[in-house]
Amino acid sequence: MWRLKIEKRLSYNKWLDYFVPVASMVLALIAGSFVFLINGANPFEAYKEMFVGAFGDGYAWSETLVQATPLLFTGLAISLTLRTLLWNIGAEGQFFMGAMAATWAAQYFSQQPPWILIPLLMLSAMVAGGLWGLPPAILKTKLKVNEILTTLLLNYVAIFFVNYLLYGPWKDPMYPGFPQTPRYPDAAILTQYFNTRLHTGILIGLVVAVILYILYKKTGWGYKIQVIGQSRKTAKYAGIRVNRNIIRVLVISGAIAGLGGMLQISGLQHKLRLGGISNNYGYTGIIVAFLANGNPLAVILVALFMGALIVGGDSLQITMGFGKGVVHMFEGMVLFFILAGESLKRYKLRWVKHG
Amino acid sequence: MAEVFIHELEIIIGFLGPFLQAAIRSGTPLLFATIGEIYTERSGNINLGIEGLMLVGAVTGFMTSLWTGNPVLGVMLGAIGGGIVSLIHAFLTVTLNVNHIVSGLALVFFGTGVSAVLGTPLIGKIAPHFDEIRLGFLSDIPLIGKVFFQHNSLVYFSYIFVPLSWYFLYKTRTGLYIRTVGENPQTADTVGLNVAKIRYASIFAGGMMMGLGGAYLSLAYTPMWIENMVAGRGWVAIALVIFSMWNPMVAIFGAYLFGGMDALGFALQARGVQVSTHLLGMLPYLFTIFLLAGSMWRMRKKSMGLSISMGPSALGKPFSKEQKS
Repeated sequence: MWRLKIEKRLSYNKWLDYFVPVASMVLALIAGSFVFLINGANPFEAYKEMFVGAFGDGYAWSETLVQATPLLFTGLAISLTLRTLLWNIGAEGQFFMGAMAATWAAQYFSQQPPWILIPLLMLSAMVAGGLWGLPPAILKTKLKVNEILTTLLLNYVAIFFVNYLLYGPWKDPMYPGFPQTPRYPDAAILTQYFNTRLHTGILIGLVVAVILYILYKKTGWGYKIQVIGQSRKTAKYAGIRVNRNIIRVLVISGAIAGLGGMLQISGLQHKLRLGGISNNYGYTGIIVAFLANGNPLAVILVALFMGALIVGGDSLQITMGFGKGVVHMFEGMVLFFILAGESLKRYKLRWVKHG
Repeated sequence: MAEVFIHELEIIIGFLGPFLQAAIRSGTPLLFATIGEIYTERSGNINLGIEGLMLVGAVTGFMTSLWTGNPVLGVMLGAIGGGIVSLIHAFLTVTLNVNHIVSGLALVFFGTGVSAVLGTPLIGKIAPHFDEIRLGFLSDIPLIGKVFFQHNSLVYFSYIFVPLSWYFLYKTRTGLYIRTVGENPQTADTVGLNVAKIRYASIFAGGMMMGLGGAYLSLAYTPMWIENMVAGRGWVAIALVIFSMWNPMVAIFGAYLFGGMDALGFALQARGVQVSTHLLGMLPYLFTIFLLAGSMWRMRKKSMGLSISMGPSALGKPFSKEQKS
């Protein structure tokens, strides 16, 4: 009997780093074309439509960037924890808490001019997101409770709480049927450019990415968390305060995700509205961070790619009449192939005779 | 005095009966999915793709029932659908050592997409489905009859299925194999168990149960196909696995508790108690976090190295024979 066996590659092949991602994309495109064929469409036309929809003109680019912005933040937040071998599955909830805190600040300080109000919004969102990352951090360091579980569970708490506010005390009295707040005061709304939905959020995201990159590469702290990520034991032996740094990493991660939540509302939605906060950005961000392998600059590219998939898929919906389903299915398959490819960089498969 | 007491009792029963019945009705799909994830995780694999697999089960189940006119066949194909799609996750994580969490998330995308594509022509159709069946005198017992025995047959099936799934996992040799592979794959391999095969089987069986949970939704709970009709229940099931400490019997209470939270809010509101269903909805999750913290606290006090109550030791870790050394 023959069976498939996986083995670690003995030597590291540099060319695989370039070959594998390209190959897995090509395979994903081929597999995806079956989806289109089954649905009676020309795959080449569909791919062209997706590409044009995502990058075809200035407006397409702006939409791709708009979709990439929240993923940039959740991706960066999670990539920080991945560097220390921690998982933050809670970016979704932190995103919600950031959006909520920003909305609170926008109401509470509504008389302030924009140059005070916007930083206040950002600050409250970061505090709220960071606080949402704190309980898992404390439970992890004090009681060794798995952070995957606690961060995941806190997502539901955050979402229920925001639902409560939107159905209850924060509901806009002008529209009693809708779970949404009144519109932000103008001073709390970010500038939008070129008559598109593109807002300052993407710039702030790029700044955060660069700051993280510098932190990792140029500071002692970046080095410390890298050591913690490689081996907790070594880090302890080298005199690094592991627990303190784990708490910092999870809280900062939460703060970044929270900031993303604020920018989504203040830049794009302009009011807290159920269904208009996060489109699973916290979960998609995990995939973004993972594919970027913890590198903040790579997060930018992957977020852009995922944003393009979303926008390209939307235009497929409009021009060729495909439902959202085809798009999700295609996204899932792209991910499968990329993940498999990532793994085949490190391992090789072989058919072996068994027994 | 006695009359007042009986009157009070009637009010309490009148309140509890419909509420507990609703808790079981909406807890059952959670229960199936949770048991599926328990089997998967007991073998050392995390499958976060439940939401997608339940959707696949819901759509294949509904489709089959629509075409064949047989809802039982529908449930079976719903389960098989969930099982087959979960094999993608098995191949990626077990054979290719891909990270479990990321693979599961990709499965959510894929399952959501596939179900929407397959389901587009089904929207608005009516398929043969499961109705409430009364079990003679059992259904007439005061309170208990209302709560437990005025349901569709899939609920009755769960009464048998869940204890059996517990028995299989804890009292049979195969169940022991599954748990050994999840606790210590190296040892399992040394004593001659095929780790990969057992994990494949557990993921497949788990996927079938998730598909079954999905088929319950489209064939019994709201008997029609609605896009994205699982509506987050797959994520709830993941929390439920933790809540029930990876034990199918505890999962029964967990599923009914989580399922009953909505019903409780509405039942209280109907009686004039001002309470937000959303705030109530937070409670099970907060409770699970306290439970996790509490059990770790207890374990630290006893200073035991074992992590039995915290789930399988090898959960989420890849295993290949070469990595032993």
